[in-house]
Amino acid sequence: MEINKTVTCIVCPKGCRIDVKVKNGEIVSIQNYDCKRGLEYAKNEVLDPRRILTTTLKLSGGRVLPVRTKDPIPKKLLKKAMLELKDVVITPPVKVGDIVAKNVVGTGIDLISTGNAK
Amino acid sequence: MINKELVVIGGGPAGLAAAIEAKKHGVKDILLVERDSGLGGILQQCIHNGFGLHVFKEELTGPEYADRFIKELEDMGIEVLLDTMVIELTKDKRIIAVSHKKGLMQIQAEAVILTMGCRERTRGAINIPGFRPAGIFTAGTAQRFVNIEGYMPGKEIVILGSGDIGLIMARRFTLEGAKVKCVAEIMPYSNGLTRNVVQCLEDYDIPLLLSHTVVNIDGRDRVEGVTIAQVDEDFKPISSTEKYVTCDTLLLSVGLIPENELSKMADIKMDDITAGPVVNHRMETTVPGIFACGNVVHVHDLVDFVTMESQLAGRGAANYLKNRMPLGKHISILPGEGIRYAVPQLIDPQNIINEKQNFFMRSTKPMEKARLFIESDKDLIRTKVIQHIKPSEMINIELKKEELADKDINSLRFFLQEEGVADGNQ
Repeated sequence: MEINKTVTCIVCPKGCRIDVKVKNGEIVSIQNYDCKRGLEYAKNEVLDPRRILTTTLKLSGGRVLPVRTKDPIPKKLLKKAMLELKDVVITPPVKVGDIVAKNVVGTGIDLISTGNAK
Repeated sequence: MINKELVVIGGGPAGLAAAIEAKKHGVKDILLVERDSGLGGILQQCIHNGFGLHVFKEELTGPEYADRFIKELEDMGIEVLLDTMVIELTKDKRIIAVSHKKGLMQIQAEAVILTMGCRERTRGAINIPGFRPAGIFTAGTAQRFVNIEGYMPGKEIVILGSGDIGLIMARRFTLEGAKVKCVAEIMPYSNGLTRNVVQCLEDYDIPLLLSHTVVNIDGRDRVEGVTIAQVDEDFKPISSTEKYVTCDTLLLSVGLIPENELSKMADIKMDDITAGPVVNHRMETTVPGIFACGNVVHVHDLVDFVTMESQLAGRGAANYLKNRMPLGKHISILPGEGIRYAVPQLIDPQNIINEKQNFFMRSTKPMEKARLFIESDKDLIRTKVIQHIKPSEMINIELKKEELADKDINSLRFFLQEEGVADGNQ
């Protein structure tokens, strides 16, 4: 199966639109890139696009706590992670860097607090 | 009357960095005044990542970035007044502040650093016709509701303006389960950073309608929909392109205005383009001893640059307090063709801090490739080719003292000349 994907590069402000052709899960051609960094970016974006998830969790006393995944997780799991974290309630005290949820959607990556709550 | 060596007005990223830097350079008696109940300013609601790449060489969220400075400030024992609003500032550096705990306070400062930041342009600033239903928010207000208070302002969203906060909120709303129908931008290019267009819109298939605007808001009690139209070259809506989009919420991400009521009270000279104070090489305003930095001077796109500019202001204030000798001759910095503004607007080349001077500027329009000329009224100082210029991405360039100091110059001019299409060979 052959898929064509266009990736907008974010390495520099130019924003090259790079065309990537994928066949059976492997890249067969990359076109319209301007530099090596762009090539690398396009490869990763097609084979394993990842993002850091930043969101908030409920605090037991009201309001919310900002959190993020410690490392980027696969882009396609972002919404699933949001659903998994929907009803998690955190009881203070919690401070920046504390782990607030382990192994988000089975990725092995933990969720850490990015804020402080007393 | 309280007497202080240095008073910093505002506890956001600018105020924190300026106060810390002033302390590091020998200012002992510092007071930081903040109107909110905590420090960090708008960073506290910017829970997304992307902060700190220049300053810390790592990618942090807003609250994490703020936390590093707040900890440092606390460790240094810098005095902070929270829930306290400065309501008056005179050019003699007399400050009137008010809080519900202490009432009215009068503070006499020897030096002041203004770090009040900016606020968002509202519907009134862009004159959208229609009723005045509930459901119209500035992007930053919506951000505060979602990320700090924990409330969702709506379910079906249209965003007007492609400023960074609007783009960030498009992603945030989508992740929280709302439907973002589109982002309409009146300009033919996005006003946000490319990485935000990609990671906030393209990742979630949210359409970005360039050269489009909202021409009517429908709904009496609550927003029910908006009419969107394409605009011509003069930004006039083309009526044949009108289309109706149902939604319950309209977010406005249509620019930021530096918050300078206090600066004006103190008779500080303002720059009409930046809407912030005119500042010199050490971020001092036209009133000696009153400094300014961060978004109150000009709106930045990266907090890292706010931090760097504020460190300069902190150091500038420390120099002023150490040695109140008047500065030497100032030369004017003039934005020429292709440059909308340049900061600082004045410099004293003999007294540049650290033997180098950084200039921040914005272009008037996107340019594929252009040559930046830096010339004095006497001769050409330097040129530099810059690729992929966008008004939304600030240009910054550093000049060395020796490039400026030896000459008897009166002014410095920056301008851009477009140079065909980039070929990647240069």
